[in-house]
Amino acid sequence: MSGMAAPSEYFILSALIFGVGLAGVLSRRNLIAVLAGVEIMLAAANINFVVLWRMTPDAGQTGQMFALFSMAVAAAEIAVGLALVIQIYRHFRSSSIEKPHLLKDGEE
Amino acid sequence: MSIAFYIVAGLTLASAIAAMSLSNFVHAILCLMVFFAGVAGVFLTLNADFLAGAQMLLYVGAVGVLLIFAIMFTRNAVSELFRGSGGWLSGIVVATLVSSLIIAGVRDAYSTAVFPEVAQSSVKALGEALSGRHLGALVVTGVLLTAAMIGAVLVALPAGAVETAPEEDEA
Repeated sequence: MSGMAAPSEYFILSALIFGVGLAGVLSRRNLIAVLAGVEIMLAAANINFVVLWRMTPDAGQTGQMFALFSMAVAAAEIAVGLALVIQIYRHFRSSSIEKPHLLKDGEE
Repeated sequence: MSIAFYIVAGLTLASAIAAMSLSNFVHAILCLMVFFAGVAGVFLTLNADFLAGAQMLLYVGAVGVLLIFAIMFTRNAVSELFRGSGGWLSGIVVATLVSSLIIAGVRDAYSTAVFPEVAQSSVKALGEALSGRHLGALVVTGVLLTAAMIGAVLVALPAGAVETAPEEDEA
């Protein structure tokens, strides 16, 4: 097996990275940091796609295709997300995630 | 090969933690770029050469610079790092639970799995798959990226910039 790490080690690595991204998304106050956490979680999913591609040689390039398209979707997501952050900053003069709560009931 | 994986994995994980915990946002985004480069290294240890190159170009290049620009535009906007009223603690607890749940499941399901010898990535095979079997997905992705680009421009326009087109006043 030419000294390659086991698939389970890759899966554990991606689970740990996913956990770090999730902790960032749930606990950071800045909207841009939250978007960065989402990117970290997507990268963890991409690692899983590539590991599963490497494990199933009979399936052709499908795993890599999934990773490629997920990269494209992540790029679209970060562009729209940052546009929203800029607009929120323009409106509230802040990029804190706790500032925009106009849609909460009972507040005006 | 295995040693390379451990080095790259440690670097990737450490830079991810740094990107999510540093209080200086520019430093955090630079750590995020190191993290993206580390993910490209992980792809390289899996023989996915083209994806590693795409990861470097797309994430370290485009997304990193985009995030740095967004940080510059919203400079010093947030003084505190984490959410107030104990929200950050519950976030970290939930993330730890989810992560350990995934790890437990993975250790159960893939404890004896090994990588087969054969899988080799070639750009030719990728290109053939992209222009053959996955052509529809490629076209849909192109439409999605165009829509996202137009949407991002529309959303980021300053208020009043689209007054000449009354039906688009939601921007």
